[in-house]
Amino acid sequence: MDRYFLKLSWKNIWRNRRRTLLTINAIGFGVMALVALYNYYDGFHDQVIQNVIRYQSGHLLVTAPDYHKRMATQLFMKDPSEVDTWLSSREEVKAFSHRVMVQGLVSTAQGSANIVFAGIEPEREKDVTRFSGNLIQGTYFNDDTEKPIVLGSELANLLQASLGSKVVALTQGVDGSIGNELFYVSGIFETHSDFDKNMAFVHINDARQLLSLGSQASHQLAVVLKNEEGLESVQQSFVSKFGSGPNLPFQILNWKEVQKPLMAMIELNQSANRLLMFIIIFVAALGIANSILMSILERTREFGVMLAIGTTKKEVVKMVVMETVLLSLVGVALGNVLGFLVTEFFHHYGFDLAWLSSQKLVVQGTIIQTISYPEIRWNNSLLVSLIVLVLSLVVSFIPIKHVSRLNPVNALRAL
Amino acid sequence: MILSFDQVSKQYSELETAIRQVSFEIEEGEFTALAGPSGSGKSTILNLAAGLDFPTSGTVTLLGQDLRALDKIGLSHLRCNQVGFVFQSYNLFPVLTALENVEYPLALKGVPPKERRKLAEKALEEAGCGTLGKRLPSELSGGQQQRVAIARAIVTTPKIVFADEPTANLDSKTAKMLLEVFKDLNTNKNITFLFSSHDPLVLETAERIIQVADGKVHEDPSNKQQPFIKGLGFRTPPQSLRSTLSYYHS
Ligand SMILES: Nc1ncnc2c1ncn2[C@@H]1O[C@H](COP(=O)(O)OP(=O)(O)OP(=O)(O)O)[C@@H](O)[C@H]1O
Ligand SMILES: [Mg+2]
Repeated sequence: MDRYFLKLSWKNIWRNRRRTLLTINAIGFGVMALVALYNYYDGFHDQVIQNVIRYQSGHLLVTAPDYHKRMATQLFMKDPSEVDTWLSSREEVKAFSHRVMVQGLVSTAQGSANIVFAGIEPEREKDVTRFSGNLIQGTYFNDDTEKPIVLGSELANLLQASLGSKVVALTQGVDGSIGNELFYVSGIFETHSDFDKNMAFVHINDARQLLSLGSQASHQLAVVLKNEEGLESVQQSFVSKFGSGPNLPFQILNWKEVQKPLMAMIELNQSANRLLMFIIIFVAALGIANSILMSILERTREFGVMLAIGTTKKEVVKMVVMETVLLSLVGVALGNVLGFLVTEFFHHYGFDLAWLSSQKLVVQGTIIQTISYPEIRWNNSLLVSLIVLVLSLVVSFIPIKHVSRLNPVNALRAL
Repeated sequence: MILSFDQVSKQYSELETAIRQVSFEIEEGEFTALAGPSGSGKSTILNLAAGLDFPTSGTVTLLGQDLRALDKIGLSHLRCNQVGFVFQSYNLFPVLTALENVEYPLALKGVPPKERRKLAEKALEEAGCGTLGKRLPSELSGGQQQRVAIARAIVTTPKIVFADEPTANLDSKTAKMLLEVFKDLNTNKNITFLFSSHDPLVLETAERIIQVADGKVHEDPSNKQQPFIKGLGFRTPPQSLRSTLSYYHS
């Protein structure tokens, strides 16, 4: 088979222009939708993950065993300084920061609320999470306010507190005593998420005092790596250095373990996408099958002529397969070009799925930006193209039965 | 001997016996017509002769091969290499130009493109339509299309060409011109022709006529004895043809 038959197949697929264009457009549209959607989702998932890493957990989180599951104030690390030393010695580590988390009541004369006081190390935390970037008023622990507290915007409204206002914090310490402390509002942050109404930041030492904890005690040690590749090796060496088990002082979790619900959501999303892909490609394959079958049934007589002048059935089948593959190749090429253009467009202007839902997308108290700027990812194009082409190859064998049943005499009598 | 039918019968169904105990032989270089009314079995004979169909009983021998002894691929190769076929309704591939249509059998054989083109142009020339190579079948008249179909049938220089009512869709003048093309190819390239027709004008040109009626063949032995004299044109219609003519005129 040489170029002659390629040309013949090419000309054959254009005998019914309208039908061919329709089929090509169907394939093209399906491929475009899938490629663009996959590019979008990949970008979106990456963004969600980056968000969560940068706003909450960091790449790795060191806690007392079980702390992450139970979030109990009593489960604190008494003296994690040897972990600090070890982390400082690791090449892969970019930054780390301790936190003491306190459940308690915050109140002013105007109101009160049950919130979480996050006791942080302000300077180190800046390198770990981006929370400091959400400040809308005041400063982030760098004026000389005594006992500073940074409130969420909704919380500040509820308490009718403004910069410099006095607020009282009340909680039960780990020893059972009641701790209370006077704070002065030094800043107000806004994230447009639940954090705005149920969270406040204080200095880690003030939080320790509130809970009657020792001067080294910590609930969470969040670690950010220079890049994600180092994740497993750091986690593994940590385990071999400090061990792992319920009776040991430390437990290390990576962000996937910390963010199980988020990962579950992403996986659910991905399987939904895969399902969508199969539906779209299945529909496209039906279109191809229909197109090719019709074009074959119309050409019974021509096949009779081919057989009569010495073409073997195998060669006829080859031609039909070639036509099908050519047809889907054109569709796939079109779809990829369109998918590329759509992705490029949204790469510049951004794409927001928020209009699909009236709710804000919040995962564990963090609002997730739904706007994302997708990038071309060749593996998506390759995957979708390959599946369509393989399926079209499969579909192209449907007419084999018809061809093998052809009898040149009867075929020649056909109109 | 290039083709022989030995006691060949073809039964399509219990009710329908197309031909019965047909025997005849065709020698190399002959120019033979199958004559007979509609439904008499002409197409059936041609299809059996080309191995497009198989007899219910009897033996068809083409170019020394018992056709039933060949498998499908062997038959396809035989048709592709040694046999040409011309149909009543031209049956050119509509998406291909005249030249590309003629190239088809050569492409099947795997002849390289340059040589293929040259041979196809030559065949078009011989069929009297050398200037039409670039046109699509839809841009050609019936007679022109049939010339292209003839070029396609002879481009592989087959030993024998079968033509089933090649002129039935053409006016008599065009039909006659086409038969002259057949005749020239028969004379100059020694290609054996077996064609069917019920058109007296066409039958006039035949060198030998095999009468088909009701699935049986009979031949006036007299007409075989007068050889065709090259260069002298067509001889007077033989006895058998006269009877055919009177059959049609009655
Ligand atoms: N595939 C078939 N199935 C059943 N009967 C058939 C088939 N092909 C031909 N016949 C019958 O066989 C007989 C001979 O048909 P055939 O086509 O050979 O005649 P013909 O001489 O070519 O006629 P025409 O001049 O009309 O083309 C007819 O009675 C026809 O009805
Ligand atoms: Mg017929």
